[in-house]
Amino acid sequence: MRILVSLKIVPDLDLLQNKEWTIINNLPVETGYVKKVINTYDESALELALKMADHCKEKSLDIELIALTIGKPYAGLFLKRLLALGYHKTYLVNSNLDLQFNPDAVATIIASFAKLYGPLDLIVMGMQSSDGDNAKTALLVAEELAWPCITGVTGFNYQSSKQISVNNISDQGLVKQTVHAPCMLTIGNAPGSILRVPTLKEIKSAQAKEVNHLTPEELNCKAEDPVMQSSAEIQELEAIDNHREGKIIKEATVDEKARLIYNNYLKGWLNK
Amino acid sequence: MSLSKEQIVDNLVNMLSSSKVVTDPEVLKESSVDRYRRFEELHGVYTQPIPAAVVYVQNSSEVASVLKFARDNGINIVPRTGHTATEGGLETIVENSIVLDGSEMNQVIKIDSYNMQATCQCGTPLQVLEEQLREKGFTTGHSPQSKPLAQLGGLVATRSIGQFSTLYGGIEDMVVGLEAVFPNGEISRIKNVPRRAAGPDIRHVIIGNEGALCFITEVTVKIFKFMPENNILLGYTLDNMNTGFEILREIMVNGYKPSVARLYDREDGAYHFSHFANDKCVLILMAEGPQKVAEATAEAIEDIIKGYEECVKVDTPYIQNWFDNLNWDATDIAAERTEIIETKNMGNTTEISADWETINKIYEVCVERIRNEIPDMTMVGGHSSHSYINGTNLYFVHYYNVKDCEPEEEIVKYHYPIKKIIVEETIKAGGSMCHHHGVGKHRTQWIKEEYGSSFYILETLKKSFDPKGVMNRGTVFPG
Repeated sequence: MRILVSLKIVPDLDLLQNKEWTIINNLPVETGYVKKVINTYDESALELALKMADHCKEKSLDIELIALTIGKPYAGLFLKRLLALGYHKTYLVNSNLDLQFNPDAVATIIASFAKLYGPLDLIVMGMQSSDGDNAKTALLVAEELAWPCITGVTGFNYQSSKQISVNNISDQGLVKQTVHAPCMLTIGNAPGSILRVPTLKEIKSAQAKEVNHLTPEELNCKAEDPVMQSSAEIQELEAIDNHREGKIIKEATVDEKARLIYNNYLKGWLNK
Repeated sequence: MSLSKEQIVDNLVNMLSSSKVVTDPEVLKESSVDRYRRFEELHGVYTQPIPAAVVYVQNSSEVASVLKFARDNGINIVPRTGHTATEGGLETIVENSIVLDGSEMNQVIKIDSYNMQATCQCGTPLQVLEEQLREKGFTTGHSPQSKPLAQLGGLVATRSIGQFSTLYGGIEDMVVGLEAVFPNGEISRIKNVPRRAAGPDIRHVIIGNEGALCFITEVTVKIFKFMPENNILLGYTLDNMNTGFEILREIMVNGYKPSVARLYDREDGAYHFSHFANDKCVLILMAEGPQKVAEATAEAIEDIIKGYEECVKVDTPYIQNWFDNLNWDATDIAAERTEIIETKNMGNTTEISADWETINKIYEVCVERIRNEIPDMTMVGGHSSHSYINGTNLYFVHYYNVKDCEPEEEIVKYHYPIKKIIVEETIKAGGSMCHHHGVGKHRTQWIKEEYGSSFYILETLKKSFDPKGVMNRGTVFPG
């Protein structure tokens, strides 16, 4: 089974101060100097794929894990880490294109990769990224490839050489199903999916493995293609008000504090 | 005859009140450890004796009553405030200990902006004091990573140090006076004066005692004008640590006082600065103070660094963003807990100091040995973050994947052997095995080697102030 995990390297937006959320001349918020991390949902996708690989290894089943990202050269450091963790091949599509708000372009590149470097049985990626936040890319890739796409996935595993068991959260709750390959999965809030850490020994063993570098052109995606042109411009930013009111309870004893909380708050709620 | 747990609790309740004596089993379990055993704790495993009670004292008289009761009945006392200790100093290694918690003694008593000093109760969170000071245009100059969580009593008890120490010094340079309670119930107050030469400086009996001699109830620290608008941040990448140590030495020896002076090795640099370090060491400096001083300091540092061709300057916003996110708060601790549980990747630190001649040798031998001798390592590296005229510190950072062992075996299999390598190599080279976390309970086996012939002085303090050995047994002094 061949699995492609598509990931995005994003700035750790938690490190941005409020004052830095500013736009000048409709340009995006400057995040070039902010530490980069693997997008959280993509990290879950990477770890769930590794868990499936662990399962396959235990059962002596063939599995090939491939990781793909589009971005700047520093993304290569993250791909080296994935090689140390057991990913068989990694690809970095070097691009200076403005793709932040252009899921069509990203989806076109990923779909082209799937066609040129396939056949693939499964493509997995996070449901959305912290900086683009459109939650469209996976659906567009699936459409381009004419594959089914399951969203809100919290876990998946090998069922047979052409079947995968999938758990996902839908409007009806948790759904467990078996799907035929090829298919597309987008990972949501998956418990137990923080990416594992490679040991120094694993890092050393992977040193000889190279990250494969590609250009969009090599994937038949030319910069001048209309789909590659970003038409989105930031017009304004508005802070979300996360303000929550708090009160300091000044009663002297724990009993008095508890009684006040019960009388003033809990009692009313419990009676509703 | 020793008292039973129930008798201890009854006595405490009679002495104080039931609301101040907590015996909730969950609280007691959590109070049997500190961050040293957090891998066990995260897995719900508690291997230390569970204390009889956690007592939340409100004033020095209550502290004195509890300490006298403990001394008269041979009950072990574990003093604490913010519960952020990292070296096992808060472990209750004796059955039916009393955890004496001063976190509710949390009032800022006085900010004296004319005499430039602030007085606080022991449970005042440093962040609370710092925020009150900053509103008035002042700062303590003390900024440990634990600032949002740590409280004044614990910071003084462990000889804490902050990120701006190269200018402001460690907590020992900031404390001008204190109040502490000894196990015989004696409440001792050391007055606040600019300097004294009336015999030995007895502040240092209390600062760094880690609860093994007394309970700190009140602290007065120096305050400084807060002028962040004058801060000048400088950052560089460079090829090796030895060059970085040479630069730090040159800056210090020539009399310049940056507040921040930090040198990261490649591994630690990759962890903090993956977006620009590019497999290099990273040097970060900050000049602060009055504008003219800050500018002159920054200019002089830049002149010094120009003499080192391998240094490449980093754009300031990279360093500013790092600087804006220095400290750990409760959210970071919660995230760390989840990560450890899911990945079994466990990280710790060990901090030492040595002179300029020795520091790089200690760095190299420790990193090499840990890489070769400890299994399942995922990262070993470190940084220097506090420099002095005669040397600097090293903050070793070590991460490993806990494999094939029970939670309670993690310390024995990984953490302790790593610490052993660092401590033994440091002492062998003439350095100090503890720079700013304190001895706790897991470096006491080397305390005599650390002190050499001066251990006599340390030992005599314990015999004099705590002859019955009821103060935090096994901390600083072997149990």
